[in-house]
Amino acid sequence: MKKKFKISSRRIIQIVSFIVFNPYILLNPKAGKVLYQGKLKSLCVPILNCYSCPLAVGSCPLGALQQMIKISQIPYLLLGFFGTIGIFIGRYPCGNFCPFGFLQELLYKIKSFKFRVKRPFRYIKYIFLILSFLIPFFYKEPFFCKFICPAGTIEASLPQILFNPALLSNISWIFYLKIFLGIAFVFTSITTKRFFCSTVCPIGAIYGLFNRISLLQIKYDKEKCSKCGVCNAVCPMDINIYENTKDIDCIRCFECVNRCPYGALKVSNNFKK
Amino acid sequence: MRKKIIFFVFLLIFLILLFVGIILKQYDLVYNFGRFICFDCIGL
Repeated sequence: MKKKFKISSRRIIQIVSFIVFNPYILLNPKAGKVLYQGKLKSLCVPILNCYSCPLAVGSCPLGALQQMIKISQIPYLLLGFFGTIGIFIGRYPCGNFCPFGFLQELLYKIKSFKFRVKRPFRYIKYIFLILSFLIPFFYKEPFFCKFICPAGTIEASLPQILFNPALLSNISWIFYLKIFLGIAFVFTSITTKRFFCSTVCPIGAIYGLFNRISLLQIKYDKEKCSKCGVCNAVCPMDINIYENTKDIDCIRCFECVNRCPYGALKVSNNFKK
Repeated sequence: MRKKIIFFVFLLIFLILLFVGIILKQYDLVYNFGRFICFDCIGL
């Protein structure tokens, strides 16, 4: 029998988010040649979405944060922005709004050998987070945007070069480094569930700190659980949610809640017992 | 009760930071960073 094609509500949210954060092609057919310069660029999107992307109408919070530190400003606005989102919904934006996360989930569907990221490696993202504060402060360079960010490479570098070939004359070794890292992240996304999100992303690292105290939570009923492993199999971050429902890597996608055959997991708030 | 206190204390701190940022018009800085091609971001 033919398998029925079914699209989950989370996939629809991910697609809609991508369009909402990157609609400039719909607003201006010349998008690509020109960057959106309207007032919406004063607002940050809650996820990694490069503001040099020809389609973007909002700003990347991590890019803005680093640029602010670079010019010796205390980024009150960005710290408040991350904190206010994190305290309510934790890493929910990673699981539902992030286009780069969405891309990684699609890449993981490609058949290949698969790897798991071991627990200690998941804390590497906090090194990237600390460096994203320290290097702009001491060396006046937006470290993460300049040397690492694969979202910037895919969403901004490649389209900008494509639409404005004149930029090719300014290419430096940093561009090749970013292309190399971009390709490396694409390959690791095929073999490992959301590799970039679990080991590198500084925005995920910030939101992850709030998973313990955020209002939005997952509750686990030990009595109902048979430890069948369905939750781990469907988890896009490859975590065992029944071991810790407040894991820093839980992106609040609720795939485990929806797929648990025993109803042992449910969406709840932190105030409920 | 403890959870509620922690939640509201953090919420208050972050809302204060957010409002300080708004009062200092840091959104204008964000706008200035975002409106032009960021050559750092695209690796040039």
